[in-house]
Amino acid sequence: MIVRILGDNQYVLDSKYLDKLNELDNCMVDHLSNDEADKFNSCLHEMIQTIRERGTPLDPAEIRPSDLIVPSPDITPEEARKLFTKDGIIPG
Amino acid sequence: MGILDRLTTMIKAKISSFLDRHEDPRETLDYSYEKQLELLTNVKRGVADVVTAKKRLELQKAKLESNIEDLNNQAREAVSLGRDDLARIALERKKDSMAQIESLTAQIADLENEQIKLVNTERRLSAKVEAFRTKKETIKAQYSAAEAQVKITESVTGISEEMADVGMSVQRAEEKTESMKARSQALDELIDAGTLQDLTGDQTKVEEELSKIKSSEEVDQELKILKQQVPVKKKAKTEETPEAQQ
Repeated sequence: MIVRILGDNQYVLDSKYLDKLNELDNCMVDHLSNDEADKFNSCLHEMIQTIRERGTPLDPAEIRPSDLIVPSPDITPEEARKLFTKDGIIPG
Repeated sequence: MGILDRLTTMIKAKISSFLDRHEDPRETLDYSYEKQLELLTNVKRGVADVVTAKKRLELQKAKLESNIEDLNNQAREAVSLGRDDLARIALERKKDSMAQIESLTAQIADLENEQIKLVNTERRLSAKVEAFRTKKETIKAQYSAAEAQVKITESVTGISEEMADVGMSVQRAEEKTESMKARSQALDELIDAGTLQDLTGDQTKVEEELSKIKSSEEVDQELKILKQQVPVKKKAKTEETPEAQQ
């Protein structure tokens, strides 16, 4: 599958890591609702690291939609929270 | 629903509304290409803005660093003249300046990081835009509107996702640059207000007092020399020598 890390790159990643990503995603959501920024960040970084280490960057000249989009490595809990509001974080 | 699902769905929804905008899918190709070129210009401008903001902070940092040298010298001079009170003021200002330098260093590193990211973004987007342009011409030449649909959807979806991503990166960089600009402006105002020493501005209190002390020392010295050169008249007493009065 193709995974995009926002502000970073697209990676080709084996689907077997999807469970791991979901687990870390849940971890982020939990810490977001409990207001635990440090733990939120550590889940996020583990996710980013997993993708970067296990995946291979997609050739920039290849134009392909991603199966999964991961937030930017420096997203703050405040910004992540906006994802759950009406406006979202995408400009325009 | 997790963060990844939400983010993915949100971006895909935005893209599909873009795809639905044109009746003839080939128009979508041209429109998208136009938007890509616009975005590429925006990214380039973003890089330039970050560089400018960084340079400004670097200048302020250099200014504060040279202030520290001056304040050190002033403190030393004040101590040698027995004016610990002035030395204290100079050292306090030095400490303020050092704290500002530390925060500026972090901000400069932050902008440096942003610059690297944006330059990479620009490179990646350029490659994608070029690939899209070639693909667009091929699709237009080889397929009828109906046949082209699938190919167009695929490539426009792919590039639109890239564009959404780049758009967000540029926005983040802009926000960062703006907040740095505001902070560096505040620092300028602080320097102007005299809280910190401004080299181009008026003399500070420490400098003023030190130069006052210095000039009265010089007067004493000159007086001493004068006294040695001019013989005191026998009749008059020392205090009455008019040349010797200050």
